[in-house]
Amino acid sequence: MSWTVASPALVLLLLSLAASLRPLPLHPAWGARFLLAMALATALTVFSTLTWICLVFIATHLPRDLVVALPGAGFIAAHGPVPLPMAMGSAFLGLFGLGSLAAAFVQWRRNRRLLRASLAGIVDDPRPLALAVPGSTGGVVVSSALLTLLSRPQLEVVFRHEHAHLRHHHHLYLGLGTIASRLVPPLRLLRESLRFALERWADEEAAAAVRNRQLVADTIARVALAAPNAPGHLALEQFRVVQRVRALLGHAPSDNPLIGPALVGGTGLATCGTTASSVHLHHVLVLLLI
Amino acid sequence: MTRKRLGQLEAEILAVLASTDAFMSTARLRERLTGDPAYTTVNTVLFRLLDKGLVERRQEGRAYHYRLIANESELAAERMFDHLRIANDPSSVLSQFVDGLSPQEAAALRQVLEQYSGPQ
Repeated sequence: MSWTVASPALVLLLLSLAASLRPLPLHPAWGARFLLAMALATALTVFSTLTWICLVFIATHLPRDLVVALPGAGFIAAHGPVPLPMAMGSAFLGLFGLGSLAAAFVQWRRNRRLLRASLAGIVDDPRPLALAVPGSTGGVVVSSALLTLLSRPQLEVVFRHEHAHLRHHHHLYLGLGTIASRLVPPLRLLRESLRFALERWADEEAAAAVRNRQLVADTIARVALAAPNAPGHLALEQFRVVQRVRALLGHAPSDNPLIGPALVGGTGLATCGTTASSVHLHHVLVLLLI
Repeated sequence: MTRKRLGQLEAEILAVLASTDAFMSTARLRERLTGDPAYTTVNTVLFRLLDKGLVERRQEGRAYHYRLIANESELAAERMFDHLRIANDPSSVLSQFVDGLSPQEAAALRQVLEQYSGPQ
């Protein structure tokens, strides 16, 4: 087996990184869908490639009589031999991704429990906070600082923004994006772009609802300037808030009624082909188990 | 309306209530919501908001009228967010309305605002 087996995964990974560094000039709603499609396709492809390499390595090292006894094992083994460093590397990356995903899951459960506990009222916090909490017991959580900082029209902007998050199930986008970025660490960059696209999407919905882009821009700026400084661990200055405000002070983006679906559909189709070629191999796994 | 969508309705009701300074009846509030939710559903959410201390109400005739609480003296906040790590937490599926700013970002933001408010 040569390194070319990893080429679909590498191509998708590079495309994903390019897409997150240079966002396409789309309405944020389509931008978010596009980024999510890329994230999922890439994570799936990379992960199945890693699994496949490990499987082949294992199959080539099984005792000969066992290979004969198991249908499919011979087929898998025929793709070998896999160099030891390649198998070790793949196993390490795969296990690291799974471990990281498990850690994220634990953190998510913890956050959810804490949120449920604080949902009984407005939270008393010096930071101006607003959160959309998905789920049956969900809703909007705001801090006392936010309620006293903003005027009623500005509060409407915040609630419209959070409503957009809930209405369009943005937590699912971010959840899937998080899973992808945990399995394949380089996708964290894409996840950040996805998060930004979701915020922009909610901003645009809020602006459409209150029919005042300037008001939305002012609200975001006011909350951002009142919030304490961000922790210094951000490696790269993102200037996300500045970008959001700037975008709102400009014209409303086009809805991309044609380009949006075409692009996301096209990405889906194109990446499906690549992904399928690696996922397809997993059928062999099923064969092996039977 | 499924229970899942109550949270979504809650956000929308808060937005409508925030758009006015006056008390609003459930019927008038309902007219301004999308998706034509049932009267009882709207009431359920309003009770929840009342419980959370986000709205106040007063009786006018036979109906209750509601208003968003946004005044410091009326707020009855108890709980703290201390243990919740949301900002820039890579595993969090929640996103804050606005993340914190670095000093450089704050400077850039002020510059953008000045630029746009200047010519007017």
